[in-house]
Amino acid sequence: MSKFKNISIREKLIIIQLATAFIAVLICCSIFVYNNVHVFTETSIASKNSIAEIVGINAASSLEFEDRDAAREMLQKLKSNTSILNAVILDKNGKEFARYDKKGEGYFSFSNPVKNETKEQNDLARRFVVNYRIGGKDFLGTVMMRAEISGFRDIIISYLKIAFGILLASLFAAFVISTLLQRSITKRLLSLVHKTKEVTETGNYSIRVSSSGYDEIGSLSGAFNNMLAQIEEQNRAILSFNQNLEQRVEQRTIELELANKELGAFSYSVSHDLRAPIRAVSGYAGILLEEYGQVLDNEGKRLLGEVVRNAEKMGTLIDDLLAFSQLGRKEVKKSQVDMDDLTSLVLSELNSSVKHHATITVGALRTIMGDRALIKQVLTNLLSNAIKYSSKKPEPVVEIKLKQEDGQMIYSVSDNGAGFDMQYANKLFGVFQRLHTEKEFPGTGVGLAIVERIIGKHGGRVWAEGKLGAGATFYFSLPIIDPS
Amino acid sequence: MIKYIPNKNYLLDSWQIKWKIPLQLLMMFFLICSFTLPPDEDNEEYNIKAAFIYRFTNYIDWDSLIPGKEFTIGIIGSSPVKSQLDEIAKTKTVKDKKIIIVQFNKPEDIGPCQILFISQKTSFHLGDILAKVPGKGTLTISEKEGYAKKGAAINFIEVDNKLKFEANPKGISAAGLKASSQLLKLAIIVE
Repeated sequence: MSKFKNISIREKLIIIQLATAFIAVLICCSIFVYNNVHVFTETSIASKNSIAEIVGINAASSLEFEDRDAAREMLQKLKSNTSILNAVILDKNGKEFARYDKKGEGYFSFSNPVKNETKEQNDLARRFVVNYRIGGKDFLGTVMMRAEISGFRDIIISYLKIAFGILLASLFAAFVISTLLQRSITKRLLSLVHKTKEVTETGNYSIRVSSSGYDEIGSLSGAFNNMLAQIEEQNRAILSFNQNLEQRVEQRTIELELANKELGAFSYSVSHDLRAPIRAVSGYAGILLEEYGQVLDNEGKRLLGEVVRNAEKMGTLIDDLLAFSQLGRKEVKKSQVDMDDLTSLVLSELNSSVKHHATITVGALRTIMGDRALIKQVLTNLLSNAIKYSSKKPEPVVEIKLKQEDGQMIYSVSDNGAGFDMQYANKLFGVFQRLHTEKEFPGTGVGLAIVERIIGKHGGRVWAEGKLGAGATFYFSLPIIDPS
Repeated sequence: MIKYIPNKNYLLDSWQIKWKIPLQLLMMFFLICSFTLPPDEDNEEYNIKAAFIYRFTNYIDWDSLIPGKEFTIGIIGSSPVKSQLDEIAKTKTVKDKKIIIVQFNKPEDIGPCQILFISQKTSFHLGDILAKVPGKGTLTISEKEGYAKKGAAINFIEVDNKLKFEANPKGISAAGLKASSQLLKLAIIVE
């Protein structure tokens, strides 16, 4: 059965039709043969019955006038019918009056016949006995006749031949018809299968099945086409949605960039425009202190000094802000930067500008790809922070090192200074975010924000580890980029 | 050798004496029998003849030539067939009609009947008898050699010790009767 399951529908249909036709015709032929044999037998027996009747009617007068010769003579006429084997006329007392035996057939005792003779025949030549009562009211005697159905075998064989012929012819007809008819099913089904394959292989959903007819295959084709149309429609929607999304992203990016630029321009112009008045305040306060210092008492001088100092501080703040906002607009120009060289340059600049007594150790720092000026700014900010925050220690130590990890250069700048609480670690790199007061450690809170921005522009990352009172370590990573 | 002869005679004599009377009685019995047998044989013959006469009625068509409600069988000349026919008449009918047996002594006496049996014992000539048979509807049956040829419709004869009958189709049709082919095929046809 599983074999049948796997053969094509075309063959299945043909097999089903042939099997149906075969069974139907076989049943018909069986009934036909059985019926014909039955009718033939019945006809044969009926004809012998009527012969017996004729013999009986004709034998009546012979019996009445006891003319055995006439009766015998009449029986002899049965000779012409070769299927009659034996015949007797019995008188009313059951005694034999006249008899006939076919030549070569021999005597047959009707009063004691072989039992079930008709059933004994295995050569298909059935033999049987018929009786006829002579005389109506006045019983005169009986005619008994034994006959065989001649040519029984020939007739059965000829019927079987006819049946076989019909079987073959109808199978052939069924084959031809089913081959022609199944085309209307399988051809369309195969085209549907073919189209399905084509769609799956090419992904072309614009293909359509030429649907015809209103039967199940027709509706299947229709449903398939509908499905394809829906998929196509959905694909189109998804595609247009994607395009729309891209457009929107692009638009938003442009808008964002514009906003960013505006913000940068705004903060630049604000910083720039703020610098001039604060310089004026600082300058005029300084002149006031120099020119009219002697007029003022000590308290007046101190207050004026405070004005000058704060004005200068604000100047620095504005300068830093300006630098920071400029960074956003600046393009990173990458080249090979020898970090050892750059570090020693930064340190010599720091040594000349800041008085400190820290021990500074520098490891092998190798060469990276980056914007020399910006990287210099990073090193300056981190090293000056380290010196600044360790300056209150009796033996301040600053160390700069490199390690390579996961395809990245990780630089660290550590000190044994004031340190910080790790819970504020994420606030370190915000603009104007400070963990210490101005009095403890002077600064504007822009330095680390600048460091983060520069490293971010180089595709790297900054983070810090520290402990309050036990020093801090600042890390920045740079991706290793092939110089070529 | 001679010595033995008297003895033998004696023995013979004594046997004869002993069985003489029974033998004579036996001989007498056979003699009586031989005298009484012929009537028995006659009886048998007429029994069959009577039966045949009755059966002829099944094969002869009187059509509508039977008046009244009786079927009359006439007999001319004395014949043992009469008593036999009387027996048949007691139990049987012909075409649902009662059978009447009538004895005629001379041709002048012959009245209307459906069958006329002419006994072989009658002293009258056949011609005289036939002349007196009234018109149509009477089947004449005789039992004498050559009578069929002379005008009787049916005539019993003996062939090879068996009772047969001759039929004279002209005589039958002259009487206005029709004989069945089943009857004629068994009869010896006489023209």
